[in-house]
Amino acid sequence: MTRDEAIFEFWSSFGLAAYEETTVPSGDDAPKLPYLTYQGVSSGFGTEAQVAVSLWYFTTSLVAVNAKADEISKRIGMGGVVIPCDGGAVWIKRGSPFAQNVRASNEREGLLQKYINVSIEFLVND
Amino acid sequence: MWKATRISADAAEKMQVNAGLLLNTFDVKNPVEPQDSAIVCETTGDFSITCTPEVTDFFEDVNNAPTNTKEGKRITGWSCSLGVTALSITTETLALALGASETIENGGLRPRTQYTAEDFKSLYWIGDMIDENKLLVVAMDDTVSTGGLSFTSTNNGKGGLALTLTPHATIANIEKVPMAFYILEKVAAGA
Repeated sequence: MTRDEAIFEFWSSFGLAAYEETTVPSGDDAPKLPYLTYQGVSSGFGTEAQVAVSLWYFTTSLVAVNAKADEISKRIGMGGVVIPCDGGAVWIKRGSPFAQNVRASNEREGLLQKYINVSIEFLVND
Repeated sequence: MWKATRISADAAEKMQVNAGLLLNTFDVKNPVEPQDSAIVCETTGDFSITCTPEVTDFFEDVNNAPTNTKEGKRITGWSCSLGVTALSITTETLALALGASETIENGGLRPRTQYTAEDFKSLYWIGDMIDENKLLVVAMDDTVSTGGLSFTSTNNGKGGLALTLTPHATIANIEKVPMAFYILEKVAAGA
């Protein structure tokens, strides 16, 4: 599994559809809320990239989106989580602050974006 | 043409990650997850662990002998230590930092002018590897603080206790160096 596939699989493992943020379908193909988007970043061995992940919920309640952010936080855990991939592994760590709420759009009342900061260190042999 | 600028295929697996824990007990024959009671203190920053031979050159005063011959190299001892800053400020960590102390009225501590046998303790540092099944362990025998108590408080911040812990050899077994290193397979609880 390539590093990009490993990262996609990780973000897809939280019960939400996950999209690299430049690939979210629009129009009639727009995904149903809630879903997750993440910045697609790749880098060389030993380098660490700051990555933004967003949870998109249509809600005025924070209960479900906070629970999902907690789930992601726990999965990453203290010290981060290492995901094996071809050539080594990617090491995903909590950023600081880990999560914050953003009012996504004034045009669509109730659209909530939970903005999550992580860093990814690439331990991949190439 | 091949390049020297490369890393091995299993490079990542061999790396140690994160700060690790200082423990007052650990069984290297059965490396299960330690209980909270085994954790000596919470820490901040790096652990610095050193194990350095003290050497002499047996031939240094011999005419015509070059310096640093392997035949002349003698180890007279090993100088080992662990340094870290503790964030847990308890009677136990204060006593650990002092090395030699006695309990006084109101649960206080006062340094002693002599060590006792009880001051020297076994301590362990453990740290995760990238391979989540593996663990790096440093075992230290007869360890006592040789850096004394050095405490720093800071405005809007946490107070820290600088620890310098030194394992000691014993004349009961003069050949045994008081620090050992292990890379172990973790054992799941209940296994």
